Amino acid sequence: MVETVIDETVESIGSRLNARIKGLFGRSLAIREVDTGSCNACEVEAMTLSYPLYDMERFGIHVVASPRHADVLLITGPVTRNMELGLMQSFRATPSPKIVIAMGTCAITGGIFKDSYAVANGVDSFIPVDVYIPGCPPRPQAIMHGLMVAIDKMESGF
Amino acid sequence: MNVEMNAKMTKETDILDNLVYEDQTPQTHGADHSILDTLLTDLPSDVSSFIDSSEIEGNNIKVQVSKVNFLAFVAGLIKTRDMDLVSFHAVDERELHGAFRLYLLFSMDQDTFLTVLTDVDPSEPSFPSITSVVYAANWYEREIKDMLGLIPEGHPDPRPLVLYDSWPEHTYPLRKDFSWNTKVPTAPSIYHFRRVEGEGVYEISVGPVHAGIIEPGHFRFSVAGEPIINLEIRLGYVHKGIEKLSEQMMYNRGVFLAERVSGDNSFAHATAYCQAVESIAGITIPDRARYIRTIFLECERLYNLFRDVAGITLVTGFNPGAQMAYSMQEEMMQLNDCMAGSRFLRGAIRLGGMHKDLTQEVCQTIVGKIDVLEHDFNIFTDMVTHMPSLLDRTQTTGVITHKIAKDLDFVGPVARASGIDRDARRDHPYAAYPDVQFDVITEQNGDVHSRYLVKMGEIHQAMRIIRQAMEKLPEGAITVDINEIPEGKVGFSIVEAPRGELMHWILSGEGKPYRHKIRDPSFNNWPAIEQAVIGYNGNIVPDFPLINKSMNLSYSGNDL
Amino acid sequence: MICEFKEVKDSMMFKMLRNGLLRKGIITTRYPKDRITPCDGVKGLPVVSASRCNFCADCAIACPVGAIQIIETTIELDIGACIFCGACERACDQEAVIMTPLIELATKQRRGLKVTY
Repeated sequence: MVETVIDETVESIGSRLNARIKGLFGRSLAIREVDTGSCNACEVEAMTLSYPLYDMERFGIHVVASPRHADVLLITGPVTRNMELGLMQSFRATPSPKIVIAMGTCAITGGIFKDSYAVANGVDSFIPVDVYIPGCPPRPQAIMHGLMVAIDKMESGF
Repeated sequence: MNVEMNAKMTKETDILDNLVYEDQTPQTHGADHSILDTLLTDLPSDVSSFIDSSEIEGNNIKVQVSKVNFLAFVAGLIKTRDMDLVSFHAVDERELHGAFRLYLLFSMDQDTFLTVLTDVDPSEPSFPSITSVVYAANWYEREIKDMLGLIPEGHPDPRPLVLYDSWPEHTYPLRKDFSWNTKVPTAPSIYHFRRVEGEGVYEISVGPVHAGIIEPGHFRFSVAGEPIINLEIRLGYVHKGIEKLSEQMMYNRGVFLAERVSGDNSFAHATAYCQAVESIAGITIPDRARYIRTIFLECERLYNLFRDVAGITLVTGFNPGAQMAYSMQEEMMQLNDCMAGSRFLRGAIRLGGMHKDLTQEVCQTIVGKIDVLEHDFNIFTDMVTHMPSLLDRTQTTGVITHKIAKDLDFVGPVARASGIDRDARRDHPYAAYPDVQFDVITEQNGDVHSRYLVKMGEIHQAMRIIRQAMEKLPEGAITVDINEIPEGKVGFSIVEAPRGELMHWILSGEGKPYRHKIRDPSFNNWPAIEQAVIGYNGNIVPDFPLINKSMNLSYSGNDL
Repeated sequence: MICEFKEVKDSMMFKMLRNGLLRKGIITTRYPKDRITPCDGVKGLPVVSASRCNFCADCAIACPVGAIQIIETTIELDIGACIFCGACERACDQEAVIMTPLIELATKQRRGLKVTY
């Protein structure tokens, strides 16, 4: 019984996404990634999106070098003490309208490093987050799904 | 296409044929440890007179000296014998016997270790610095000063390693009176970078947020035009307090924490942790579990090496070839998914063995996939080693000489590319490595091209080990239960991760570690970048990304 | 200028074409039109079957991050805290907790990540 419930959920998400993407196919998105203390697994998965197998660039999504050119801030890691300043400066440098995506369990609640003396338990306590992508690390399909949700949010005017 | 290019291409064909292979039969377990019996008697009498007491435990000899004789003893020891520094750390043992204790761990041949112990009285929290004789101890002593407040007297560079900028003075996280979930207030401070003065010299500062998708770190170049005069790196942005977190986690939970020290070496870290705890408990895991751990370790090595090779190819500008190698990495990670349910092989290991077994079907998939990948990789290698523009960029760039690599104790492919013959799978065997044959690849030049060739050679060796382990895979149980882990015992384990040799050292407490010391290979190798960019004929600023990618060091493993 | 055919055939560009596109074809997946089916045993969202659960709370004790809470007869799972390790599935002897292959879990609100079974 559990199996049939899951199949229906997956199908409904898929068909809604398909409809949305057909309308948005030409929309481009510039991403800046900020690592505030992750173990590097989330970065490996985010880099996989630009490899030939997944190729997010065919959707117009690309990674830019400076937060000043970015639409989306993709944040990983549980925000360590030493990276608080770097995170806030990147956030302030990104021009509005912007979307903040918290990627990975560490960026949402701190993950397994929760409550440590050097860690602030997630991006929530510093800046408002628009999309949450759970996973440890989230798979490339999950990140793409999260980016589509972000595009959806941007197009529907927040 | 002109005649000159054709001629150069034929000259470069011989590069792969000239690789230096060390053909070594690996040591078997229960090797002869007679070196321990004669070690102390071989020392000159003025050096051995400093020893207060000594004890042999398995393949480890422990020697206690007092603080005043510490520097003299270590200086004499280094002159008599060739040893590699494995770790230098301190433990707050004031609750146990009223003093801090320093542990200095060396590794020697025949799979033996030497530990030098010194007590430091809390009323005088300092100790003589040994950096002037053991150059590799530099960052270890800075970490002791940051984390426990013991000052190394005579250290040439006593700046903070991870607790800078907003940390108040006298905050020592690894002391027992500091609770793991304290909220530390902020207090501004100034960090002084080394300056290079002169006409036309200026500074380029890069980081912590870098262009591209990579971890944070700060690099400060002093340049005169394009050539680099000096590079200083400052890391510590990713410090999460893992060693302190580990002290309040039961051993079962600690496996998950160990997996997340450095994300792409998850399985190697978890194996080292499990082996350290298993050696404290005094159990041996079943044979099938040893072989499965070996297969998983080599699969992890494969996807990391594909990624490294692709990264170097990408930075030299050869994008299509790099994407071929990245596709191979992706196929390897999908294979990991079939094996363990996780692309990074997480959640597969447990204390006492493995959680999940390998079915017949999965074994056949693995062997089939390795064959396909080897064929693809041979095509890639053939294309890439005959490419003049790539050779021009990678040869003689970022040279690390043999002497610097030896003095500063580098590990992993970086050291092997400079001629240092060191591999923990052969020197300190663990899991199923005593039962398989493999070669240790070394090169002599120490430049980016040598590191490239070493990594490509190691890919072939990893495939060879997987095939042998698959053929010899024995039947049986995959796990044993651990009933009790005794308190107050020390266990440590060395594992060869894709980046180099890593170590986990545990002093056991009640159901959880009293002190857990993690030494990632990147902690040893980060100072290599400062040496490599200067090289012997200078490097320019655009060479820096190439050198960085050729070493592929982990920021998170360094900062913990 | 006329090139020799042999030189073109041996050139780097032709070699790459031959070994890349012509040998392997297009390997890019057509996501999201084709859903990528992961292998068996992939650790995605943990799903608890309330009918099989006997509220012994073994899964809540085994969880390394405390993502599962059992309050009376309600089972609450916080996906934002879950590290997808599979310890809950192994701890349950009623086979009530299963790690499903559902991996697309992004939401716009934090409360969307808290699931009650």
